[in-house]
Amino acid sequence: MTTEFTARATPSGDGTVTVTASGELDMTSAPELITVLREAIRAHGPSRVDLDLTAVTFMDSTGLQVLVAANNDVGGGLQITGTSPAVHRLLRLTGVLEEFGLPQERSA
Amino acid sequence: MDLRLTVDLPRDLDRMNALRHALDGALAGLGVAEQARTDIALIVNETWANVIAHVRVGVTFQVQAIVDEEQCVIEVTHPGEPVTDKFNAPIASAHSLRVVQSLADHVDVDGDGLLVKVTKLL
Repeated sequence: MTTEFTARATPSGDGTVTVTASGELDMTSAPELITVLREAIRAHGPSRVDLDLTAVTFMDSTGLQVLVAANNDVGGGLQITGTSPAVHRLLRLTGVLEEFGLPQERSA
Repeated sequence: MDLRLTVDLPRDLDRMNALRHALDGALAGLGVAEQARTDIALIVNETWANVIAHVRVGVTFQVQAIVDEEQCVIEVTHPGEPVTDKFNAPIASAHSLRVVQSLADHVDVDGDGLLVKVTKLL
């Protein structure tokens, strides 16, 4: 199982940026996600950021704080396009699924 | 049976992932169900995050996870330091407390808002 956190930003032609993350997102790796998101927003000024967390195997509320801050940075334009069971559970426990455009039940 | 994992913060900050996995592996070895282990990993991490938010220069904290047949207790202590107003700080994140309260069976929070004892039944 991969535990090391990585995040990569890929701009699309339509003015959006897709950020794909994997590994464990907690207080030790959150700065890495902040850097990637901030750099992507600065470089591309996207209208929307799509964040794929399907391969994030662990996330705590420190990681969630990064997502909330990034969502504010892009004027509410952060969409989470994929979650792992662990990520979906944390977002459900903290009551922010709707904020990120996610349903209550995680689709497989 | 009594399994005890002690983490010194901020000293062990860089090893927190390894320590979380060590605890999870130990719990798996004891036959603790995956859902309870997932919950404990998250509780431990949220507790650590909360402690780190309270760390001041020269002040250390200990977080202990104590496991027996019936429960896992996660406890925050300040070794050698009386609990005084210097620890008086708001909880790191409302999300953090909400997560812990959702997953734990019992949470004791002291007057300063620092989590001190979290119990998860196994």
